[in-house]
Amino acid sequence: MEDFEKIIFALPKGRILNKSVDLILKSEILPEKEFNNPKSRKLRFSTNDQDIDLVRIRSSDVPTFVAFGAADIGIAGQDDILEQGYSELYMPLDLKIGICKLVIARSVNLSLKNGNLAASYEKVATKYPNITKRHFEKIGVQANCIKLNGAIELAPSLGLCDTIVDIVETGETLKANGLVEKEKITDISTHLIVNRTSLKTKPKKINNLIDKFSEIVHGKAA
Amino acid sequence: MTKKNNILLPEGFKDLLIDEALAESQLVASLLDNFRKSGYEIVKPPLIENEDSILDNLSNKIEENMFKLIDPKTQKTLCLRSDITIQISRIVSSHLSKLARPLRLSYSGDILRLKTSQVRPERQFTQTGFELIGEKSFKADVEVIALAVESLKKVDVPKISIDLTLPTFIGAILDDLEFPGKESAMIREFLDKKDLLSLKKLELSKKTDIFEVILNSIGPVEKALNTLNSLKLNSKAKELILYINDVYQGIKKLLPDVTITIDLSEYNGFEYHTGIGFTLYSPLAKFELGKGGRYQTANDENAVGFSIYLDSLLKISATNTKNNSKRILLPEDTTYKQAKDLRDKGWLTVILFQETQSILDDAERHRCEYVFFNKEPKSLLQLRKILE
Repeated sequence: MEDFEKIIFALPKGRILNKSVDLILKSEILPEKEFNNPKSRKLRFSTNDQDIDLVRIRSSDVPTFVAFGAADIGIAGQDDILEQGYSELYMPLDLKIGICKLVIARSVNLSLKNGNLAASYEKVATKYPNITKRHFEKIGVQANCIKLNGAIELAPSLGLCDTIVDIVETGETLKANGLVEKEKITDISTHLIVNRTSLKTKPKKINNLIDKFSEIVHGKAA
Repeated sequence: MTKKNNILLPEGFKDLLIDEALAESQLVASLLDNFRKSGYEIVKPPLIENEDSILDNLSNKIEENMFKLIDPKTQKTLCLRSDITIQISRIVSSHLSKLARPLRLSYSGDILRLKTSQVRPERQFTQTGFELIGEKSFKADVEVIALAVESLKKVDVPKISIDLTLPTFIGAILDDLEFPGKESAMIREFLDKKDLLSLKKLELSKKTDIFEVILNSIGPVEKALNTLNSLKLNSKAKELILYINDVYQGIKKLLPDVTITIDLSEYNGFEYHTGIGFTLYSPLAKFELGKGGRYQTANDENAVGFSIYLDSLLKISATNTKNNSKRILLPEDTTYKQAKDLRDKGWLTVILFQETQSILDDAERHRCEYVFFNKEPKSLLQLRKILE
């Protein structure tokens, strides 16, 4: 088979990798042995299905790989999908894993002092400057976003900013760092995403995968 | 001297150099030749139009996407064209309004767009295509789609597939179910992303089950048509389904080996189309190769056309072109007559102005695979053996 006819399936490293791999195994796509070897430097893996190869990439890069057609299909958090906002992506299925929410949080002290004050300007540390900007625009606040790649919750206590926008699963991290949730921007789940061109050029294989995953998520009846 | 920052091009613009430029000109020539063989006659509209004449003929969205300038002479606003189809619509509604219908026209030229997408950052494209004016029946759609596919096959595009859509279908259903305008816009947005979940989550005034069926019908035609035929539709939507079926049967007869899919939720890029819309793909290209469909001209005539944007095609074809294979290096003492004879025989001649130290080295430096040696064309391999 020609390489361009293969399906490249992108899996996100990090938070949702284990749950994604569970789904992949349940769909009877079995990766080669190297996939489970933590010391392996390989990034692309063959599977028992010769039409499908798996790639493991940084979770925030999955939408990019799929939008540009470097991968045909992928598993990505809605946070990363929204942040990038590619129009070349289809989101045909909610996988119902890695569920959390994207929230605005501020330090407890500040919230007590002027919790009801609606500022016209806020300095916000976040991994998601695009979503943040869009949201604050909607509520009429000019947001000056500081892009951070981790340890967002630390930023307010060190005086980098007053406000953060980040994903929250249990709320423990916020609490431990003296922050409180001010407002939920949106609920976040994990989606199957598909490249627009791939759905049209490889319709049978892609639809097959979507159906298989849909069965796993919703049960056979669906 | 050129300074470093002087050679930087504006965002979205680029030079096509040697191989790519050659490939593009060859592709355009082959496509136009193929359109011409089917009776399509070429026209060449200008780069710039009056803002007024373009505004009259189309929706605002494309208008927003144009570079504009002021004519210093008249102080009027001028537009740099962003789509040649609109110009064809103007031409057939004016200068060529009296020519017999159906009228078949082709064109090729550069267009400019103001806004770009993240995955396709170019702002200048070469648009090559053809339009069939004044034929109402689905036979016109079939002719256009078949010619589009055949023309791409001619330039060696592998495994072409066709995606059919009906841009007015969703609108017909939204009207029929009497969704308020604001809800319609939201539904459109989620359908475009095929985001069924968000669509279901919306708290709408009416049921949205029908859209779920439409999204699930995307894919190979036979299955899709079965699903769509089972829907309870108003007569307008039902007519559209019968029409897409006619077109499908027509293409299937002419092109039995081509994959055809249906996606009735597809709207992107089909904003001004009134009948069928279609997109051509190849798995080798990461993006669509070309797009076409049915629309109304400025004079409300039925028209259907197809456009190829050369950037996608170029990416998969540039590697295929064998361009320099007949390039031959001529030593400086070659006469004009000898050179001309070679050219007449189909050679691409490159003449040296100075006596050469090593004709083999020079041939490689000038990317020639042949050398004119002792009044005979010799390949580099042959010459190496002779010189040893």
